[in-house]
Amino acid sequence: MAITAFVQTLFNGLAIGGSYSLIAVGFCLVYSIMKFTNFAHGSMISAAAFVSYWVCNRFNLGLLGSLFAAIAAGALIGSITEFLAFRRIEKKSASNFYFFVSSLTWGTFVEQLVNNGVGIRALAFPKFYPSLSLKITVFGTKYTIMTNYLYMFVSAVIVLGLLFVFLYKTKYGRAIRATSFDRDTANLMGINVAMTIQIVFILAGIMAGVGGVFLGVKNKIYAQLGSDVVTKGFISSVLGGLGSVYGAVIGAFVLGVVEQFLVYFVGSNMARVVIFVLMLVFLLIRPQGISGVMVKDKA
Amino acid sequence: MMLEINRLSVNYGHIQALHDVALTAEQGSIVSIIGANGAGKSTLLRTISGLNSPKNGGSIRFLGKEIVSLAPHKIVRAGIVHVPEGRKVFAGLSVLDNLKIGGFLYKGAELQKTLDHVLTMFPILAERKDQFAGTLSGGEQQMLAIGRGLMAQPKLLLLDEPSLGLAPIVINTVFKMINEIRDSGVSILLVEQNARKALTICDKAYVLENGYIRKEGTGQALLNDPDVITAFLGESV
Ligand SMILES: Nc1ncnc2c1ncn2[C@@H]1O[C@H](COP(=O)(O)OP(=O)(O)OP(=O)(O)O)[C@@H](O)[C@H]1O
Ligand SMILES: [Mg+2]
Repeated sequence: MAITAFVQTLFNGLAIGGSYSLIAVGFCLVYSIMKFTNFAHGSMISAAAFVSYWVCNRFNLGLLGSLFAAIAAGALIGSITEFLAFRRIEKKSASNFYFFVSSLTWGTFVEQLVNNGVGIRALAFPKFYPSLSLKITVFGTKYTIMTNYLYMFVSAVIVLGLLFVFLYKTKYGRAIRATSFDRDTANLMGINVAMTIQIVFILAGIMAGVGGVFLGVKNKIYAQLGSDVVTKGFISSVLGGLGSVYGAVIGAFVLGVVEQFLVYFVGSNMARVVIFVLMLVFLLIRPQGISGVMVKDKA
Repeated sequence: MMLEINRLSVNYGHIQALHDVALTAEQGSIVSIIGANGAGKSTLLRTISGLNSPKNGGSIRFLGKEIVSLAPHKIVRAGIVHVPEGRKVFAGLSVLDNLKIGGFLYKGAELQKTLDHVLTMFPILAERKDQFAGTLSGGEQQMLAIGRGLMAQPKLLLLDEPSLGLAPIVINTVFKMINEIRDSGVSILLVEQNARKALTICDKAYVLENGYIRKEGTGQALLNDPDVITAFLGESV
């Protein structure tokens, strides 16, 4: 493998990993606080991307405007998801099976709405970038990188950076971490648990929205856009260690990079198979993930 | 009256854990509740702080206001802070973060002032402030749990078995802190297995048995009560 190919593949992997990380971290935050998987996570990605597409076309927005539209849509969808699929059931403290059914039903419903909105052919965002690829010279070597990947990577890093500042430096971030650890005790500290859970779903929705726009630019927009990539988000967070936000980020970047190298060496069809085999092997060897936190599911 | 509880009954499904409990606590006092395992002591504290809901008809008045139907985070706002049984520190968060979460309702200079106060009161926490709370010893975790409770600037502090599982010398420190906290003007409702210490430190005490209040009186009176002596103080009359 030539050095140019190596660097380009590595960069593609990091960019793709960036979009996975946005999905994985949102998924992981929700999992940590609910101790349950939000099966509607994928639909939040498709829906936010679709709304963003619609707003972008309607008002002739560029990338930045579309991103803000996706953020607003993601936040709204996240908060509705929490309210409809989780809060009522949470109040009745029913069996986790109800979370499974309600989040799956809600997710399928949203996906169906997007399906009806999109129509028979996948939609494409307008051309956001003057050119699809960029040539960059570093230390005298020329690299070609996809413009969308560059923006995807930079945005993911910015969003993750802001998220970490929020989680570790603000009182609401501390409230999220405390509530994820021990809900009753957090409640005894004066933390409004319902509101904290709502904030987590909004954050997850925002990240799903940002990820959704870039994936939409990359793969077009269709109803299953979210559920196609959400598996990668799940995998990333398990790879990193379920329940650890750092782990989810690391897992996502590792997954992105490994995937791109597989594509390089065995082609994209084989890569899709091999990545899942690697994943299963990894889980057998190290179920607690990279970061080593082993979370016991409520279910 | 700071705290006034009447006709408080609590069920877990079909099991009734508290029966018509009545209790009062005056401002600036320490009130102890002693009782065997399963008597309902923690249930009583959890009901006061809103984690458990009582049956209809029960009343918990705090500073003249009914608080029986309020959510836990609103009860903290009203000035009652519960330091739960088993310390329940946030193990994966730093000591400093634990304290800041205790002061969740405050910010800026006010939060900092309470933080400085608590760190002066518990120098060991200042020393360990960047460590994960889960790495502290049992005694240190108890100090953290109490310190974290004080961060919410309580008017009434509910302490559930603060001496549980601690060495005698550490227990003495904990009881010294409890006295100090009361002297600073905070009223205390203390649940304890260590009956002798709890009765010695308190102004008033209740004996809880199978969910019923069986006795009430000054600490001194209960220390001399033959039933209490046989049941809790491990001496034959
Ligand atoms: N979540 C629960 N579900 C069902 N029953 C419970 C629950 N919590 C407590 N109980 C029951 O209620 C009764 C009172 O329990 P509680 O924890 O209040 O006792 P306690 O006096 O604090 O005991 P200990 O000294 O062991 O802490 C016990 O019989 C207990 O089994
Ligand atoms: Mg108890």
